[in-house]
Amino acid sequence: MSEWSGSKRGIERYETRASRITLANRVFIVSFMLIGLTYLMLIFGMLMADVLYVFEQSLGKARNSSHFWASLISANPIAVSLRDPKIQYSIWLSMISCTLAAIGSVAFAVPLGYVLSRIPFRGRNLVDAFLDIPIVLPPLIVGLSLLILFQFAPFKWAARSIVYQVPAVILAQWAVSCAYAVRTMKMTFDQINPRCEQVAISLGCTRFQAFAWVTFPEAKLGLLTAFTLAWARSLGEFGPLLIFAGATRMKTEVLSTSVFLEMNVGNIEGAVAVSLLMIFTSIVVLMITRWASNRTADEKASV
Amino acid sequence: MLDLLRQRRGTLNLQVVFVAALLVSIALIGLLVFGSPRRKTGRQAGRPIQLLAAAGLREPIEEIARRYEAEYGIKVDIQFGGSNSLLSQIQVDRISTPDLLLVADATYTQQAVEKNLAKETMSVAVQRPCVIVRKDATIEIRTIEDLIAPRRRLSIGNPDQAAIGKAVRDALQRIPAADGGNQWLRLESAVSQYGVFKPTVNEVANDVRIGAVDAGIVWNATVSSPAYKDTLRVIELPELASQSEMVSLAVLASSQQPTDALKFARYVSARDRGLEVFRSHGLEVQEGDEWAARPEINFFCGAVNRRSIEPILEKFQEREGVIVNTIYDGCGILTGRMKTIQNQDPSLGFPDLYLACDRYYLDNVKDWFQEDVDVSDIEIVMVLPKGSTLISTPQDLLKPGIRVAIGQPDQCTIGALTKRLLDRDGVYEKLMKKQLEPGETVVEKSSSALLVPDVLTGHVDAAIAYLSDVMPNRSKVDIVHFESGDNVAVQPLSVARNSRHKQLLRRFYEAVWREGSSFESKGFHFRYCDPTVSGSERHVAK
Repeated sequence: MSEWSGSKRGIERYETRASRITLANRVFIVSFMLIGLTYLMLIFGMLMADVLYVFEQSLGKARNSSHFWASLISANPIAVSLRDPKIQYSIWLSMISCTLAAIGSVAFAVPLGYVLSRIPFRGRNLVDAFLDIPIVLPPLIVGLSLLILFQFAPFKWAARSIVYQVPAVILAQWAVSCAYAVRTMKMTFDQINPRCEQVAISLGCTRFQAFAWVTFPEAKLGLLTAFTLAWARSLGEFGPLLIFAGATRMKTEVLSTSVFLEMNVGNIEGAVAVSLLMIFTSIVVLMITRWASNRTADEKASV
Repeated sequence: MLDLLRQRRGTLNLQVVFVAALLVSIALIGLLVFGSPRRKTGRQAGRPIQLLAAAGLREPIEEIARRYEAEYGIKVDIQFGGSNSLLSQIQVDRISTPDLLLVADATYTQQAVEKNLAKETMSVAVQRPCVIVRKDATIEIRTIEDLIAPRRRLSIGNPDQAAIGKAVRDALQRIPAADGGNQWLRLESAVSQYGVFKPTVNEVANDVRIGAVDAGIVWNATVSSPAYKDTLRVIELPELASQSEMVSLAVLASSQQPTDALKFARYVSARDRGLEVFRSHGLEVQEGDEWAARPEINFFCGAVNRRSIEPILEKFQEREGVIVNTIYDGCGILTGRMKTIQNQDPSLGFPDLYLACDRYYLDNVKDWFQEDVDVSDIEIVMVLPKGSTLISTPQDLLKPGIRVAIGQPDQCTIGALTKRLLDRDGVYEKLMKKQLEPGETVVEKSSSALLVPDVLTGHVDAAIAYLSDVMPNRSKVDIVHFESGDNVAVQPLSVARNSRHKQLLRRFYEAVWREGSSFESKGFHFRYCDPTVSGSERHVAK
C-alpha cells in the first residue's frame, strides 16, 4: 500500500488498472448481452416472419380486389380463420380443455407436491424421478401409451366414450401438464419455510389445519404459476392428442391440431394465422401471470 | 371456524379455492357438453357421415360435401391425411367408426377390401403425377435425368404414406438407370440427401410454393386448385404421366350407417353431382351413374333363379337404400317383353339387369346387354318316385306304360333344354310320337315348378326337371343324372347398355359374387368366381 501512496506514478498505475477493469467488465456484459440477443432475435424474427407472411398474403389479396381496405380487413388470413366455424370450434375447445386440464393438474399437484416436499418416506427420490417421465418422454409415446392403456380393463370399459372423443383431449393434456404443475408446487413448498407451519402445529393445529391456513395461502404465487404453466403446456400439447384423441375436425380439434390440419391440407396461410392466434393467447396469459405475481410480490413487500 | 376464516381474510383460503375450482370445473364441463358451437350450428336430419380422405383431394371433396349438406341437410365430417396413412389408421383404430375412405390410388381401397376393412368400392376419377416448379424459377426439366440433377432440392411424397409417393416409386422403378439400378433408387438417394419426403401431396406443393425446394412431384389435380395455380408451373414428364392412378372410394366395414354412407358415396360418384366437381378441379372422371336419391332398377329374372337370388336382392336393397323392381317369369316371356319395349329405355320398363335361365335366352337379346357373367349353372335330372327302378337311361322313358312329365319348349327354358338334351339320341321325337299313342301319358308343363309335384303326387313315373326344383323334396324322390354334356343350364347375369346405374349394378354383381353360398345351398353350382374379370374373358378361360 505504502509503495504507491502519494507517488504520481502509483496513482496513474492505479487508474489505468481501474479503467482496464471497467473496460473488461463492460466487454463481459456486452458480449453476454450479444449472445443473449442472438437468441432473442431468433424468437423475435420468427414472430415477425409469421406476421409478415400473413401481412404479405393479405396485401396480395387486397391488391387484386376492387375494395383495397375492405379486403385487407376482412379477407386477411386471421379474419378468414376466425370466421371459419372449424377454427371457432377449435378455439372454444382449446380454451375449455386447457382450463379443465390446468385445474385438474393443480388439484393433483398440490397434494403430491406437498407430500414430496414435506413428508420424508422411503423411495421419495424414486417417485421424484418417476414424475419426470411425462416431461422427458417423447410426446408421441405418451399418446401411444395412453392408447395402449385403454385397451386393458378397467380402462377398456370407458374406452368408447374417451378414446378419440373430447375427454381424450383433456386427459392427454392433463397427463403431461400435471407433471409440470407438480414440479412447480414441490419447488414452491420447498421454498416456504416450514417454521410457521411447525409453530401452528405447536399451537394446537392439526397438520391439515396448518397446511390449509398457513402453508397453502403462502403458496399462492406458486399456485398461480403452476396453473399458468399447466394451461400453457396444455395449449401447446400436440403429439399425444394426435394419437390418443385423433385429429377429427369439429370434434377433437384444438388449436395445435388446427395448425397441423391446415398444414396438412396445404393451407399455409390458415396455419400461420392460427399460430399467430396461439402466440397472442400465450403472450396474454404470460402477461397476466407476470402482473399477478408482481402484485403479490408488492403486497408482500408492503407487509 | 368462521372466526378463523374471517381472521385470514385477504389471503388465499383452501376451502374457498377448492369450492371455486370445483364450480368452475363443473361449469366448464357443462359448457363442453351442452354449449358446443358444433351443436348450435348442426340442426341436421341425420347423423354426420365420417369420411377419411386423401389430403390432395381436399378442394373437390369439401365442395361436394358442402353441396350434399345443402341438398340433403346431412353433414359430412372429413378427416384428411396421406392415402396409406389413412389405411393404416383404419387398421389400427378399432374404436372410432368412419364410414368412407377416399384415396388417390385404387390399390389402397382394394387392400382395404382384402383385409375386410371395406365392403363396396367405386372408382371416381383418374389423376397423374407431374413435376412442379415455381413460376419464377429458371430450371429447365425435360426428363427424369434433368429432375435428379446434382444438388437439386426435391420434395416428394413419402411412398409409405401418400399415394403420390407410391405412384412415383412405381413409375420410376420400371425405368433402368445408367448405373445399373433404377431411377427410383437414384431419386430416393437424391431426395434423402438434399430434399425431403412429405406425408401428403399438399405439403409437397407447399414446399415448392414457399421456395423451400426447387421442384416437387404432385398430382395434376393438386395444381389446378386456385392456391397453386398462380404460383406454380407444371411440367409433364412422359415417364410419370403414364402412371395415372384411380381415385377410389370405399364404404368401410366399420360404418354403422352403411346405407347413408352409400348414399353419399353414390352422390360423390354420380356423373351429374360429384364427378362434375371433380372434373372442374382438373380430374379426368369415370363414367358415373345418373344421380337419384333413391334409384330404381328394373330387374328381369328367370323364374328358376328366384330361390337363389331373392335373399341377395333383399340384402342389397336394404344396404344400398335402392328399389329393385324384380319381375320373375319364364325366360321366353321375358325376352318377348324386351322385344316389345322400343328404345330399350329403362323408364319405359326395359330391364337394367337381366338374369336369364340359360345362355340361350341371352343370346337372343345380346345386342342390348353387356358385361355378361355366368353366375351359376344348374343340372337337369330325371326325377323318379322314391325307390323306383323302372328308369335308368333316357331310353327307358320310351317304354310303354311309363308316364312322363316334361317342360313345354316354347313356354319355359326347362322345356327347351329338355328338347335339346333328348334330341341328341332322337329320344325327343320318339317321345312326341308316344304322346299321341292312346293310353300313354307324356304331359307338357308350362313351368319348371310344376314338374316335380307331378312325381310327388304319383301322377307320373318320371319328370325331367332342374336339380334346384328337387332340392326342397330331395328325401321324397330319387334322381337319375344324364350322362351327356348338355345337362346343365347356365345362368348369365348382364347389364343393359342403356342403364343409367351401371356403377350401382356393378356393386350388385359384387354382392352376388360374395353370396355364392346362397346359390350352392339351393342346388345350383356357383360359377362366378372373380368379379374383376369381365364376362368375355371368363368365357375364354372356360
